[in-house]
Amino acid sequence: MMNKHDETIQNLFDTYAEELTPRVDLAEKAKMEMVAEKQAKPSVSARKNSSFWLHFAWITPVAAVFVAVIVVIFTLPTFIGGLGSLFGDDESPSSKPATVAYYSLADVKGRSVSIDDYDNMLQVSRIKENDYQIVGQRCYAFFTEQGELRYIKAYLGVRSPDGTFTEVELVAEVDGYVREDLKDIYDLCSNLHRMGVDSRYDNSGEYVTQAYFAARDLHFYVVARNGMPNHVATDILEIISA
Amino acid sequence: MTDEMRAQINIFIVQISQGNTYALEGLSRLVSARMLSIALSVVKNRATAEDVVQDSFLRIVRSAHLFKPQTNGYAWICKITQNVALNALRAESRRRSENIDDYFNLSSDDDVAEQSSTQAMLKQAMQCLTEFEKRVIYQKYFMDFTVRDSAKSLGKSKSAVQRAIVSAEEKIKIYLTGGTKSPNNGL
Repeated sequence: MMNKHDETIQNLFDTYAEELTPRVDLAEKAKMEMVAEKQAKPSVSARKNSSFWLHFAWITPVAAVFVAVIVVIFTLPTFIGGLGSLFGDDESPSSKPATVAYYSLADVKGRSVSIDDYDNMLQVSRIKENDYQIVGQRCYAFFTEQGELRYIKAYLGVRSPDGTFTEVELVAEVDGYVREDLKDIYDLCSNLHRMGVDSRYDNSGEYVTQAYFAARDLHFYVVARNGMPNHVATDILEIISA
Repeated sequence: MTDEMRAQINIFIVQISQGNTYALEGLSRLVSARMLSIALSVVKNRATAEDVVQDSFLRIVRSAHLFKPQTNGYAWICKITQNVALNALRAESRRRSENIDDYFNLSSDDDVAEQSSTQAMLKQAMQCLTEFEKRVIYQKYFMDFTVRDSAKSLGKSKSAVQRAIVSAEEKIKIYLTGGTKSPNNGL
């Protein structure tokens, strides 16, 4: 894509920019914050490598405790006299498969599909039932060579009644399979009882909400971008995950 | 914007991520005026625009550790400023029920009489353009956006952006050579 700059026009804009008066004072607030942070934390370098998704790291110890409790509940009765039958023959309530098979992007092929064909899995139509308007959508399904569905990727543009626009990008992966590049997120989040949500400004100043949840034999990784902090992204995620 | 300035801006951002307050001062000398212009072009109110620039600097400091040094730091700063300004405008327009799509202009709240000849000429040249052309030409020549950046920012295809840029460049060149007759309304 051509991106050559016309010299005359560039000069005009550069001259215009040079005539503007610098406003160093407008950086004072940020400078004060830097100074305060420096005093509070001697080094900020530790933040450098922090991954967005590692904010879900708190889940790991909580999940470990949860698993330990479950193990104790289900194994202790057998040790003390076969009281396991008191719990009936039902399986563990955890929806997370015991084992998962990993695959790479090279193992699947995607094709453009109608989102309506997968609505029973994605439940995107429910967004419209909640006063939101879908103003744009694209959907791709990814299959193995044998034609087995592995995951669906969808992009949605959602306008709320107050005019707020939210971009939603979701990956809905079939339970029991995990794409290798999503393994870390899956390991961190797959023990969640309901939905893990984390919202923050990304490096271009957009407000981004990331979420993980499991529903309808799928597990969803979702990123929603919105102009500003509000409830819209979370609302949409709640609707899809319900 | 020279390549040396761009490189210096990238160095400043990296230094800011390491907690260097002098780098922030240096950066503000290089880009604060441009940031204010971008903010003014969106919010069209000097007080609000100054708030936007202050918030943008805060955002830059908080996000500096995420900046990739091999990318265009100036364009990165412009994107942040534009997004913060659009957020401010959305909050404002929600109160006033106005359409934010009408706002993107190369303009300030300065009186026309205070403008330099370059500013006046640029403003006149921009009047020859459609609203979409104004946006893309401003993003390309003032904000250092690539076609891809503009397409993403404006929700259009890259080819639509490229076509608008070509058309706008032709119109501006015609204007600068004295060939224009009736500029579009709406700056």
